[in-house]
Amino acid sequence: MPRGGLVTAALVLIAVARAATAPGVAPAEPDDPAKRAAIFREMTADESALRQDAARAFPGDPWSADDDFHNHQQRRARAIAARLHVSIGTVLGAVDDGLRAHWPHANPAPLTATVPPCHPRPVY
Amino acid sequence: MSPARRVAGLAARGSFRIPAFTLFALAVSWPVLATAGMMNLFRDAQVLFAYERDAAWSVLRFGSLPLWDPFYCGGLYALGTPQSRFVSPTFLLSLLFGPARGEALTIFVMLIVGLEGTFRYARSRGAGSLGAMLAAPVFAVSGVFIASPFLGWTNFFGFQLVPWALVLLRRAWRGDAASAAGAALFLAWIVGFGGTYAAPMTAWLCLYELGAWLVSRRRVVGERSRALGAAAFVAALALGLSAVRLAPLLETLRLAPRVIAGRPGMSAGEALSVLVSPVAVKNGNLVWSKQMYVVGAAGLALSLIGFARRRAWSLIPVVVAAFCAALGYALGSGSPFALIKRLPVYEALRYPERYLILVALVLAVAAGHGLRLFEVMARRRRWARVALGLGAGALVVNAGFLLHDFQAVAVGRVLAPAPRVVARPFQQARGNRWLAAFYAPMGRGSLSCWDAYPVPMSPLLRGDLVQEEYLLDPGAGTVGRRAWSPNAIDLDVTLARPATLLVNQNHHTGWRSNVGQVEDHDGLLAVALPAGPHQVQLRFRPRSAIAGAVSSALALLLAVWSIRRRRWDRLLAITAGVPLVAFAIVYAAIPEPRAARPPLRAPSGEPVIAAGPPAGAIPVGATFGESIALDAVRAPAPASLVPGAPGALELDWRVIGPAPRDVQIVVSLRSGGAVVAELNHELLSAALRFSDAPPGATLRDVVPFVVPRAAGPLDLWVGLSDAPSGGPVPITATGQAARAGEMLRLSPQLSSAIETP
Repeated sequence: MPRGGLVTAALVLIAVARAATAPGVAPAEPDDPAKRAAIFREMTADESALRQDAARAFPGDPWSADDDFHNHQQRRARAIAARLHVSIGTVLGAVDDGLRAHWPHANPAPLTATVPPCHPRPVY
Repeated sequence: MSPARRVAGLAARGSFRIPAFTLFALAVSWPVLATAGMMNLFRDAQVLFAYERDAAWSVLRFGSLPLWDPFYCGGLYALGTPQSRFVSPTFLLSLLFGPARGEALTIFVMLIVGLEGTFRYARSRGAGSLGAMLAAPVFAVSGVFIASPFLGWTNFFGFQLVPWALVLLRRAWRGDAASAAGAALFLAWIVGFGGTYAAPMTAWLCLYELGAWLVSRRRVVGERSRALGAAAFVAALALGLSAVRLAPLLETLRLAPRVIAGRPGMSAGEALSVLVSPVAVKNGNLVWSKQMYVVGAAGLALSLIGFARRRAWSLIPVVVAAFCAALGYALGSGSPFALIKRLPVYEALRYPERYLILVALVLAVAAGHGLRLFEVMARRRRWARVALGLGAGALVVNAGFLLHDFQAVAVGRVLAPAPRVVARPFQQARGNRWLAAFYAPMGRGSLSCWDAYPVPMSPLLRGDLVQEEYLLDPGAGTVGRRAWSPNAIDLDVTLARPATLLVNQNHHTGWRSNVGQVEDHDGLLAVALPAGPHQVQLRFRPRSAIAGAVSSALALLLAVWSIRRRRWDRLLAITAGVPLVAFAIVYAAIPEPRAARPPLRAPSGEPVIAAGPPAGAIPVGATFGESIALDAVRAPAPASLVPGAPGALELDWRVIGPAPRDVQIVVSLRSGGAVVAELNHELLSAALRFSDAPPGATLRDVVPFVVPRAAGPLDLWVGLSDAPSGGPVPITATGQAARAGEMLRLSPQLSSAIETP
């Protein structure tokens, strides 16, 4: 192989090695049902109020309102994950498990398990 | 020999240039490679990464082709998703290193590809080796590529393939069959890499290259017909190669067209400023979404000098056209962008400023010419030698500036460790599209969905089911899951009577069952089954994918054959259409119900096109101009008009003549003569233009609003305006409404309904 090819191959190997050894997957977390239940309660406590705010922000547009609600949820999920030193996946997983298993929550109305079909706005 | 000539000699040699480009790409992408295992939390990145990851998992975890993606939006046709990028050689990186690390390596590889492609294109356009090499980063590390890793728009690296396609096309015009096949391969790669913008924009450049060649060779007998033949060959082969991606994509967009309104644009001054302003990140977002097309001040200056060179003059029309297209509606309704938007496919492109990517490519080539100009002059003039040194130095500094900007923006990404994989049966979750990539590793799909097009979704999808497959009539029998993968669901079903089996995923006509009849149950995948015990095997086998795969495979063989033959002959020309013919035959041979285009609906769910106004609507009977009638109005019930609460009006229109395209519907609520709410909009129910509406039908325009806090009763005022000029469309009949200027005051008819409590 000519010298240029060897240099190129060496550089590509460095790139591959760097990518392959870069830190990645979140560390395993001990399963703590009480913590997950608390996360679920915190994530869902004011779901109805958040949805009402979103409906006012996007009147007549259920998808946009739902999307706005989920934007609030993702911010909260990230904040809770940072505060409790758990992964974002743990927070999202708690919401999913709680919805499916009907865990107790503080929201005044039943939680919503459906979403409006995707209807992106014509203007952003 | 002067130092400049020595460096130019080195630049001409691939053994020097390619390692140099690789080293530069390594330096540029280092922050991305160093965080390759992490996940980008930016909203678009979450969705676009999920598409690639789900495709890779389909292969690696389930041993199946990435046809159906059940992990997002309740299931969607993976090949038909416009922004997915897995039909590309870079998918091998995702398979070998995992999707996250593969994405970082893809960026690294595409940077090298883009640098070398820009060099070759600049050379083929007459730039010198030195200038072409030093100017390559002006395009290959320009703003869109700096911003893309931050935004997660890895598919935008498909633009790095554009110069390759153009270089090979220029050779193809000369009768080189290998280059023609190569050009087709690159064009198909652009399509397969999620080139929603790259592919249609590249088509313009291809047409320009062909036109420029035909004009330049107009006196050479035979060359024009040869070039036209080569163009037809490339087009047919590229279509054949990309059929596996293109056919599902067109099928999807036919069913779920992207509806876009607005009149985006920017001034020439703004466009020039974004070419020299660095991409910048603040508070987890770009400081200005249009500020992502930087080429660098030195790159721009050298390119302006380069246009003084005669050999660069043929680039001037394309850079002017692309620049004007990038200004969008700032140039008015007759602007290049507005005209382009009238074409199929191009109508779905939202952002005119993205034409600056093409501008960046041309500027890179012109910058190479700028340096070449100094090189030539330096042979005779001393000052030109100084200018050559300064120009070369400026391009090196420019590359350093782009490198720094790329790294700074990459470092500004908000990252999180990739989630751990939880092995458990797949179920749909309510999900969250802002964090969409977290769900599949949990064995969940995110029903919460966003894409740039209205993904066909069932409103019946649920994120809290105990069992994902169930019976519509629960008492009719039992269902048990035997095996599950994205494209295949095996179930044991025992029925005491005929029943409908429901699967908590979206329906698509490509789903087939070995028993019963696959049905669309309000958008949900369903199978009508007879009584008795059944081992139901559901398989996703869409004919557009099968026919596309046959076409792509044949076209690939043809491309290899063309590369081996090298020169044109009649046999090659004849065979170019074979893959497309094969596609048509296979497509016709596989039975599949034709998917009906769903009716247009307002965001609130009401159908937009109806036979007549709904019950409760108050007749108006006004007309605007010669083409648009306002038949009726429906206001919300007075009890629902609570200040601060959402409400909705409905205007029932009808097209009675050829409607202009750019009409704005002007709606305002006034109280005591003052405007308290402006509800102007371009699209009827955010879905339809007057010009696209069927004549004679009632067009229901649902206008949502938040009930304003007003001291007195609300007046409703309605009019139409010509969007480009802002001037009113004249009222030609007022019907039962009152008129003030070119607006209708509808309150006399609605006073009881619209008055706030």
